[in-house]
Amino acid sequence: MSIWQKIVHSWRRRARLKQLVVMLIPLKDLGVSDGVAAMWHRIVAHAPRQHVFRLEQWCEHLRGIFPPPPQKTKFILVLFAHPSPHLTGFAVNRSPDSPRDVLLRGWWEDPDVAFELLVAHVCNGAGILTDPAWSDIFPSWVSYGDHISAFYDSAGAVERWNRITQATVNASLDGGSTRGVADHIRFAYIREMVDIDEAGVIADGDTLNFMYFQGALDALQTSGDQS
Amino acid sequence: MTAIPFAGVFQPRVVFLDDDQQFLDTVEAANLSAKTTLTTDVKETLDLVTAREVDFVVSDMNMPGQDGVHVLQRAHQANPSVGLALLTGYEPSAEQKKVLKEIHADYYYKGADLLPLLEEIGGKALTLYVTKAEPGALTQEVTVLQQRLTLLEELHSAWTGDLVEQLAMIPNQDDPVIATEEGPMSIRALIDDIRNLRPRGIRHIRLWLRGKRTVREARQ
Repeated sequence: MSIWQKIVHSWRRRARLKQLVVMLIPLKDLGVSDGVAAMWHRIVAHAPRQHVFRLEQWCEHLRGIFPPPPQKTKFILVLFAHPSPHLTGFAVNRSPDSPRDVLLRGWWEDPDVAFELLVAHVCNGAGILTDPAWSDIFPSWVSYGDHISAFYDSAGAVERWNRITQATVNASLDGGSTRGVADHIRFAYIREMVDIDEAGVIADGDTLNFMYFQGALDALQTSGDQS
Repeated sequence: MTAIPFAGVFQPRVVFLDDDQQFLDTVEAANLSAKTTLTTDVKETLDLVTAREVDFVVSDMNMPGQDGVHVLQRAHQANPSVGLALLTGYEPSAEQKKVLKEIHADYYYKGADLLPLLEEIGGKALTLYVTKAEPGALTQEVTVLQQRLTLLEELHSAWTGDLVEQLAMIPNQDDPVIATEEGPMSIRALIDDIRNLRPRGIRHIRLWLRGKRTVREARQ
């Protein structure tokens, strides 16, 4: 990459960084199976703190956690969450004053907010987003068409998933198109797999994550795949 | 599609005769592991029967200028040991049913879900094929199957042995530490599933093998 390309890339990246929003929606019911809760400290470290929002329980609308921009703004959303059981939206913990536990399409609708790109690290996220009703909220997305299993119970395993989440956030800034974003994420998984194959630490559960990285690779989808 | 009523080695030769190309395309897409001939040509079908090059004939009932029952009747006359089935969208008449009974042909309704129907027809064709086959030929086929099975067992043992050995070295075997679709899973449970080839175990073995391929391709 020439010096000019580097300057242009850096300038573009900085512009996109201003658009970045990272949202985390953990789910208490999953207990130790909740990857969002397991990884959230690490995820937060990959984006400027003012761009990170953690939704602990159901609220009425996106504005409940996300301050409205002064004018209509296009955002790049990186979402770490779980699907609702029937793939009608994204699962959320109930609040004490509401039985609702799904963020449906309407929750995301806001006249001042548009999502230029959604990178959803969500099991079966593609199952939600392929519903045409979502296409005007999230016209361009990268997500997974299947469950993503994971092993987090060792320091080494957490480090591996940490690098994947970091790559996921970076991919949203550097990928350009949805395909480019998916390729960046794919590359991150393959890099970990090659690393495990060369020098995996068995006691760290690398064997398990080797399989789960392959599962994630198999499941990765984009809105472009649907057309 | 997964309708595979035929075993890998025992492959009856089945002719599907129908003027409806869409139906024939569907049969083709069902990917039956049989030696299927898909045709709209009555003469071709009867020639195959006469030449003893087919074990089972499945014919449509109403074809332009042809009555499927009559075609099956002629096939039976040409080779009484050939298996016969009629596919129809309509109830056969009493007379047609009488003919079908005489020639030991079954009839099936096309409106039903096609895959179970093909499975049933396939099962009959396979039974007939195995019943008719020369004992020597069957022994040979069983030998091939046994060889394949032994090879698969060896491969399974080699791969899963390696995999299980690695998983068994992870500490905290009983803790539900793996986040899966079904909730937390212990490593011990997973090892058990792999050893006993349960669906979850098979899924993991496949991921393991595909992962190895991904790494190999990435290095090239």
